[in-house]
Amino acid sequence: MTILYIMIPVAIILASFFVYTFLWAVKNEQFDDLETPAHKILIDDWNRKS
Amino acid sequence: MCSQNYYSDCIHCGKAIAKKENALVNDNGNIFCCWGCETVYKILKKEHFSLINKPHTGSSEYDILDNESFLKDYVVLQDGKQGMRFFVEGIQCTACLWIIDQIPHWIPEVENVHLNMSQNTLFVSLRTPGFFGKVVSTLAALGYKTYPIKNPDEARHFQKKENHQQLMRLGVAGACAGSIMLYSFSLYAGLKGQMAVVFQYITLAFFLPVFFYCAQPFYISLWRSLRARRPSIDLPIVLAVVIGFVLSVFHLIQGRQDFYFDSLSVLILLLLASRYLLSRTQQKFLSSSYLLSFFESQICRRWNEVHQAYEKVSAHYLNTGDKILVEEGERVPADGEVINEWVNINPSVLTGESLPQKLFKGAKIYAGTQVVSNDAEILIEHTAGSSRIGKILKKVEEQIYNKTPLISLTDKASQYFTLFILSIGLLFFFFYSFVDITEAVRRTLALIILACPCALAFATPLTQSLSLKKASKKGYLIKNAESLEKLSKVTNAFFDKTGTLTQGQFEFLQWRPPHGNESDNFMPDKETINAIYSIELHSQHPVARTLVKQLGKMCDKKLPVHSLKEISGVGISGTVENNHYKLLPALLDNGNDDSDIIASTVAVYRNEILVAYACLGDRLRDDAKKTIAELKKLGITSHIVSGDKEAPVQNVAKRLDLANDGIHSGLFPEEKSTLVNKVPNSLMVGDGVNDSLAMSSCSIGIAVQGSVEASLVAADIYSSKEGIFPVLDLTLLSKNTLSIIKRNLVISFIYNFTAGIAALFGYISPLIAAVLMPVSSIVIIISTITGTKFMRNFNK
Repeated sequence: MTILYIMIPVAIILASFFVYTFLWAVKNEQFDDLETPAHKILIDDWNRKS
Repeated sequence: MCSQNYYSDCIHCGKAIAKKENALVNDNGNIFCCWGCETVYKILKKEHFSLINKPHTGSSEYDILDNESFLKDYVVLQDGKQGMRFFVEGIQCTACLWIIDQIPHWIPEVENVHLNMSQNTLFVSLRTPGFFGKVVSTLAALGYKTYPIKNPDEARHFQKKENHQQLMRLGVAGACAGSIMLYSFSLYAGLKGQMAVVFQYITLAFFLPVFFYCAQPFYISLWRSLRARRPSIDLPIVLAVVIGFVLSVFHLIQGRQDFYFDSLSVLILLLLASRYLLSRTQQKFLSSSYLLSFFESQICRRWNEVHQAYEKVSAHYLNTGDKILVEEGERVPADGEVINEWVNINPSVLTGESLPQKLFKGAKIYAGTQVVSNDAEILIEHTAGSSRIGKILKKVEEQIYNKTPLISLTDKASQYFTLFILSIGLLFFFFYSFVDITEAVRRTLALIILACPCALAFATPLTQSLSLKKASKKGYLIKNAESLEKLSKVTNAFFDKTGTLTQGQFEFLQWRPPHGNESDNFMPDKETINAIYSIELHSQHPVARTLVKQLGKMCDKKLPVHSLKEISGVGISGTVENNHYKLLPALLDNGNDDSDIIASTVAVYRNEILVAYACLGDRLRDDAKKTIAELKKLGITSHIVSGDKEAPVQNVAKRLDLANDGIHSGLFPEEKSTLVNKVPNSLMVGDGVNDSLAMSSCSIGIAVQGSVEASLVAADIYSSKEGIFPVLDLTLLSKNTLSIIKRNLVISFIYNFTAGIAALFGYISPLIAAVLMPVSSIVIIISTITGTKFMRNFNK
């Protein structure tokens, strides 16, 4: 059971890391347009290569 | 796939096209869903288009976009570089995105473009200023209609921030609720001793951000509704959350085992999620302030004394006393006086009148009317803002702002429910406190927490957002969820005539024989048709224009005309191949059985003998009769309010089997508004500026396809589907949505009532509460998603 004294802080740190990343992503407008990037991935980059 | 909802597939991307009108056909007869596909297809087939040669853009029509005065209002500065936001019409699929992404390659001065496909907006930033006009003309050359959008005002900026806040709260609530669940699980599983105490404090620690940060919107909106003295579903929620928190902390200090942290955090998470979903679906549509700026950004030609030429300016910068030129097909941007000889206008936007009007020199011309033939030179008397249409728009805005908010069914029900539960709790506490005071406190509080109609609080926004989504898939844009509930209560529907019940276009309808009864396919002989065509070609009268358009298809040759005589406002005569023809307006007793509306009849005489009647007018929409009959079955009485003259309105009413007392003709926009306003629970369906005032003053307004911007602003719902059938469809949708909400209410109250009683008798431990709460939520979510039969078939 003593392992819990390490595991709980680790779990809390991990959770807060993910929350922080999420908040960062929201502030960076990553969630403002959910449709366009989904289409963008389908476009080949051939224009830039040539 | 249903055959009536299917026309063809896009040859490039394979997307199904529902209707012929939406399809684009190129010169080779290939069918596309959008201009992007058409262009990409061309490139792939290497048809006179290559990526090295950018699309040809010769016109200087859009140079106005780079004017100093225009930029002031529209440009956004980003890292010292100019940017502008546009609304692009016709964005459909990846091909559009691809082609628009090529713009920086064609115009090297463009730094970056960003297309937002969910809002159809495009952001363009420039390396060197002065190239916005080129970007727009390139887009126009590609086939996209583009409007500049004013730089984001305070409100829009605030909305974006609010969205971020909501999402952040949702994320934090999710993380905390998840963690609390994990720790609580081991507690429920029977963790004892020192470790259990540690776990309990950890759950408290995770609940704190939920309580103080995530649940903030509920406190704020409760405070607002309390101040406005309106009932709100937030009251029982906040009550449950606060009491639950206090009680749990109290138990924690006492060393007892009863906590509600897990149930409460999940409740808040679900509530936030459903409300976020609803606000996201509502915001997908352009807000009304957006649309107004389109109207102002119209470009027109102003006379410049110095250069002795017309220069292009935005309608926004016109002044009183300016001379402007409005070309055929354009809308008049300001009120003024006609200074050239004559002009034909279509005043239907303002008056609803079906016939084009001829204005002579010195006549008043109003902003918003459309020039049908001959270019108009106008001396401006009132600019857009103070013009008649401008004043109407201003009033519309005021009325939208002052619309009384609806107290929704859920809010009303929760008010009574909260009162009921609180009084039961108090009664119980009063009597049980003689037995055991601490137990009385505990059980009363447990009752309040459990009896909170929580499931209902998130099921309602969920139901609404599902309905809004379904509607938007079908092409109905509903501005807010409130409209759905309002629409279900409508008992009186008011329809505009021109453009709503009818097609709104002046067109050729049919030939009629000179004598006797109707025969279905009467046609004058070829010779006569040729002669009529040749004669009417010389006239500028709107009736003649319409006839020429129609006869152009049937006529095989143009003949020379001798001794042509046009009697202004009466008719025209001429000699073709030794026969003398006379075309005169005629009064015709309207038959009772034909399906169209006749606004004007022309009698054709050959050598003074009547040979045929040509009937022109506005066609009734195909679905009008059926829709009105179906609405009647739903208990909704239909009325016509029109600015047109009595005869055509009576005619329409007769064909739609409407009672005489429900027909009002010759109304000004202001009169329409007062008339509609007198009737409670009224619905206004219209398309023109003359309807917009009525739309904003009645309880709910629907703008049909082809409406002008002004009515889009005023209306609560916009249908992008043709015809007025959407009115019926939307009414049914709203009735079904409300019945699901009612069903959820019943389920929720039965559950809460039983759980509340059990709590009073002390049967509910936090463990059982933790199980019961999500179960009730799931039941209600299933009920919401299953919906009704109508809802399930809605998009099929």
